[in-house]
Amino acid sequence: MTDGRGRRGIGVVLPVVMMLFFILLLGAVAQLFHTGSALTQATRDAGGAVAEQLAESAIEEALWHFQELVNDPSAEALAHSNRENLFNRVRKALIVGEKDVLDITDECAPVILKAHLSKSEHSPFYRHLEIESFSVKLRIPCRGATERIDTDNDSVCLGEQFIDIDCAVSLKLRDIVIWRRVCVRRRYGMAFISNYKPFDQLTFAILQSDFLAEYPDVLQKTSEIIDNVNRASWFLGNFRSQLLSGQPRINLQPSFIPIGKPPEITGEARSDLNEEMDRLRRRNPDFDQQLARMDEEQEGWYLWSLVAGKPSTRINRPRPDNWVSFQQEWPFIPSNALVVDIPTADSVIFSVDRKVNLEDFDYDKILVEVYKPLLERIKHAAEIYNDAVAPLLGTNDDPVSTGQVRRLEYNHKRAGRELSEALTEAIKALNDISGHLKKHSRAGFTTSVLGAYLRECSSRIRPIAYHINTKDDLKRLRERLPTFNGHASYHGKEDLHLNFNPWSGKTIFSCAYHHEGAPRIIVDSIVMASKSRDFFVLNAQNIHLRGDDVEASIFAADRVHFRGDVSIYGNLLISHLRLRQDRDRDEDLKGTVLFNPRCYSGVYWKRPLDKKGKTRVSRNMFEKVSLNHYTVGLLPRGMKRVIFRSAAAAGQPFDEAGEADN
Amino acid sequence: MRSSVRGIAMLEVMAAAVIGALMAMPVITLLFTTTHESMVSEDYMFAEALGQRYLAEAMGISWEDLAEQLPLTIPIEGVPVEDKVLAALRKEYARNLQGDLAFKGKLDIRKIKPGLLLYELSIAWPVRPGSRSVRHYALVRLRSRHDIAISTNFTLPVMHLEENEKGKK
Repeated sequence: MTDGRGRRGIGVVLPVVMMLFFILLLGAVAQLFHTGSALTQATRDAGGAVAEQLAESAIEEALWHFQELVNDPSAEALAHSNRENLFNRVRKALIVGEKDVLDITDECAPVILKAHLSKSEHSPFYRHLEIESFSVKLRIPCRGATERIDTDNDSVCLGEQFIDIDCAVSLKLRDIVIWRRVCVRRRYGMAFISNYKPFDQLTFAILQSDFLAEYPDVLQKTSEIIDNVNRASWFLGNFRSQLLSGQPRINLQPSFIPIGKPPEITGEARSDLNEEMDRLRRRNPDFDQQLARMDEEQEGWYLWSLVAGKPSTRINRPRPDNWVSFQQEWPFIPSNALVVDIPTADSVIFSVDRKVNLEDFDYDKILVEVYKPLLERIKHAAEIYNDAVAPLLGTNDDPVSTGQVRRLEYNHKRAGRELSEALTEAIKALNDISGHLKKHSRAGFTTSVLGAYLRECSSRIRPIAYHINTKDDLKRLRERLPTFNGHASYHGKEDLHLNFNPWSGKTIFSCAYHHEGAPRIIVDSIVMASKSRDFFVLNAQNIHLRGDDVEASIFAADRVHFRGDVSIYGNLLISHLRLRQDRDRDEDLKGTVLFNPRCYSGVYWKRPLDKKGKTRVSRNMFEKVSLNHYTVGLLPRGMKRVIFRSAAAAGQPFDEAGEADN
Repeated sequence: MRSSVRGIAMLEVMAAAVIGALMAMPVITLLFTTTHESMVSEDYMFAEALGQRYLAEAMGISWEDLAEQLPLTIPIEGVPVEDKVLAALRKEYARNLQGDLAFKGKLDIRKIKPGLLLYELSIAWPVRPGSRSVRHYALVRLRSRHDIAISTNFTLPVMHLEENEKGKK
């Protein structure tokens, strides 16, 4: 029961409930905002991933277009453009372009990606995606082929070319705009598939031949022999005329032909010699020591010279009739018979003939096998002659009555005929070598060009050099890339067999330089799958050719061994051919080289400079340069990758942003 | 006489209940909405993570291995074998890949040009258990082979000989 006095106003419950609900409402609203923000963020993340993958896809497609077009000479140039196709543009820019940046955006546009998105079952969603900006640029801080053009340029920087691809994508989902920009930098490179000018035009070349340094001595000694033989001829004529004129004795000077055995000193001549030697010992205390330093032949001739002309060595007059034919068999060699005009030691020996027989260029072998036996015959003939003359000089007996004249006449004829034949043949052999050398050499080449060339060979363009350390690496490379355009560089220490039948691709195969103990590169067989398409350049220090067919342009940086008659279709360049005494027997040149015209890569030219000294590029500059001998490839590993997530970074230069991300 | 009007009047309670009920409706709606949005966010994030994971794994397969299998479809369903331990430890992870609300999809890989692959990933999951309506997450990715330039074929011309022969003629 109440007292009838009702409670005024509201109780405490309602305000408390309402307050609690307000608090709850505030919390709920806050949560709503929070979850809304979370949802937006989740949408941004998911959409951002889609946009990023789209940008990455556009970049991948650009890389695909670049690779497809850059090695396709038949690719058509873009419509509505007076530009050349990408194949030509990239090569010309790399060889001697004027610009440091080549814009290839149009050629590499993501048309395949766009076509696919429009056909996709999710195309209603993909319609919200838009590629806002897209650019593909080739950066060329230095030119890959500059060293080919300016061989005197030592500051060549290789492998610094790179491709920058920049793609920005926006995704509009209701009121949310998601933006992603992906920038990728990849290195690419260009390899020159041949040997550098002028070696691309030579069938065969020896860049440095020890024979050229040795050959002048051979000619000098041969000239001395010719002089001696001619002097002997003069002496014999004099000898005969004195006999015929009735003079009782003549003076002999034995130095006329100081080869072979000297005349034996006997009888009275021996006592004359002892007297003379005693006299010399009194005047010169070192006489016996000086004598001891001479070899046997020198000493013999020297001692003979001491007594020659003394009464003990004078000859009685023989009957003149027996000496009529004395000089007839004796050879006389004109002083100009021997060709002494030969290339200097710094010359390169080469041939541009279509087919070369390698043995024709092994001059040292020819010298050993042809000339040296003839030299022995000359020496033998001289000995016959001396043996015949010596008894006649050392006796006072009548040479006619003792039969010595008859023997002399017989031996003289024999020696003369032998000398005549051998010397004539020797001179012919040397003249053939000299003539061949004259025809196949260029003086001053080694010192002016070779150094720069060898430097270039050791630093071929590296970005597309595949390193191989074992034979298994090589096997894997062939399995992975059945057609290989580029540079395979062998860095192993084990011997490596090359047996490519067939080989597909345009390839330089090189072996890393070793100061000592370079591995043997044993060439079993190299045969191209297609002669018009494939080409192989072998560059190594220690090459062993087994004697089969080899279709390659070979540069032997040190030694090349011929284990059999090799048949090379291409060309062969040997950097250094040693003398036969300093090399193995299988280093004798053997086999044939048939020039492959595809070795030829273009003409040698200097970049024309304008009056200010700047490079001037003319349109016809590339007319005779084979751009097909340059192959361009992409480095597998990325150089830089930056992702921008804010539209504020739309114009930010790629170089200044982000960190390297491989 | 002592007043006895202490306590809460029935009217007060009823009024509070009515007002509370009226106010609770939007709050509850808000709570449902936020919960729903949270789930949607969570689902999309999971779908994105799942998709990126499968894509990354597929992108990591070498060209040589892929070439033998193309066209290839990788199903996205259930707990991957390598994740069994993780799924045992984290029930919510296993729940997303198994049962009525499981995320399912596929990753198609096919060659669209020589040296260019298309990766097409799609993941779907039901809005609620038993519901026919599903949500989708899709990704597209192109992948180019980085050594196709090295494998291309083009001829080597014979330049000077042709010129010389023309000159001789």
